[in-house]
Amino acid sequence: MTLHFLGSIPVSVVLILMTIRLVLLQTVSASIGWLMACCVSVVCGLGINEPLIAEKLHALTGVPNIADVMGRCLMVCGLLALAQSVEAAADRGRLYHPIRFIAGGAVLLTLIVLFSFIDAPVTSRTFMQTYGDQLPAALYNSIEMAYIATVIAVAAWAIRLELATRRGPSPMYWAFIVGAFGLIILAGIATAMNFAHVAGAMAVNGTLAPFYVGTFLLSMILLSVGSAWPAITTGLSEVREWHEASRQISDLEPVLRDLEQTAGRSGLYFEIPYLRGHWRRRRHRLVLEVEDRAREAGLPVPIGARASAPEGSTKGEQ
Amino acid sequence: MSLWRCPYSAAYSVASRRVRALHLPRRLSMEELVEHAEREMGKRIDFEVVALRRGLSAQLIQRREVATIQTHTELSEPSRMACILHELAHILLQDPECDHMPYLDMLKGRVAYQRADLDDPHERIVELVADDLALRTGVIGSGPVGTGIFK
Repeated sequence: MTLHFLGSIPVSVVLILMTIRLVLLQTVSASIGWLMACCVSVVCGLGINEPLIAEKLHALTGVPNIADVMGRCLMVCGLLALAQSVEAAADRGRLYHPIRFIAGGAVLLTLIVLFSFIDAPVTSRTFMQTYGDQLPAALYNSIEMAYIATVIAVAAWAIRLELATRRGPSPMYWAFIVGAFGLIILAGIATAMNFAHVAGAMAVNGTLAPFYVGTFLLSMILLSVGSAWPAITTGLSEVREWHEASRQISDLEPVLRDLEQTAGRSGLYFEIPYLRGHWRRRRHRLVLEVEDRAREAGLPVPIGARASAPEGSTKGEQ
Repeated sequence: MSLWRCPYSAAYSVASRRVRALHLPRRLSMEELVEHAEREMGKRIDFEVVALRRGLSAQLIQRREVATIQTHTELSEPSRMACILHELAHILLQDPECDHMPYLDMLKGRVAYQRADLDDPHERIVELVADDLALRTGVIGSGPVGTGIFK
């Protein structure tokens, strides 16, 4: 089992939990959707270098070490998805910022071009240890790590600002920030190791290697816990809320039918084909129309139709 | 009971498109939404709770310097918010009758929009736009989801 495969395990756990959440709630926000895309890319990117898969890809394509470049490209895509997720989480975020995609595309292209300059005739499970003495290989790994460090730093800074300005976000997001800091240090360690390898200073690599392993594994665990834990816990609350809404909808639908007959009027509720993910909107409309029809019929509003008070308030309301 | 029903209705899709065209933030406070509507009309919006006739839940009255959204006294708070959002949706959608018609009654103002029965197809779309605005403003509670960063 490679080190990178080990690092992918916490991300895989997050992906499984997110998938369960998606199956239960049948709804996914843009932010969680991009976070899931990030997890898929990172899991594939870290796992693709397993010897069995790497050999298979070599045999299929005829290109030795193609798994390595594919893995790095997937990591870049995963980090791009993470940047999108953080952007989607912002209330005024711009999801389709051209510069973000141009930068991601440029990094992918650079990786592929640099890979083509590396003389690596035999597929190796330890690509950088075997071929890392070549300058294109050092640049190849350093550019990937620099991109990862930049994106993760921007994401961590955005989250840090959110934590500073808003009440409510889980303190578990600090794990993400610490994990991101770890990944930035990791990028520094990897770059130092790359150029030490090119310079033939193998003693430096020997010293830094244990730090690389520890920082990598710890960062992956912290990033996974920090990004997913709050989403999973709120997901559990959402499932409970959805169950409650389901019961309320079951109770109120016959009440609304009766009231529509009594009032001689109908609204929109029974005409809208709501999807399961629209349960909040559906409950809101049902409660609203029960109240409308009851008032029109001169009847008291049924107890079960009283919704909770809204969070917002209007300026100057008397 | 199953919460599944078949795909989107046409009105729902039209309303979603109209909301997207407004280019509003994904989340905004009710105050911010009212400010958007005030900018759209170029005048202040006041709110009043009055005993409207039974079938009428809310109405928007235009005066030269100010617009007033009146809501029925018997509404619950969530319903009142939904009715206010309905009137704000009319303004944000730049529906006719906004502010270019003559003022026949200078004292009472002119009733521009009313939320009563929803037989008119446009009123139905406005109502669905209001539902979308309710989600964005937190009038339809987003529960603990809104407290997350990856939400």
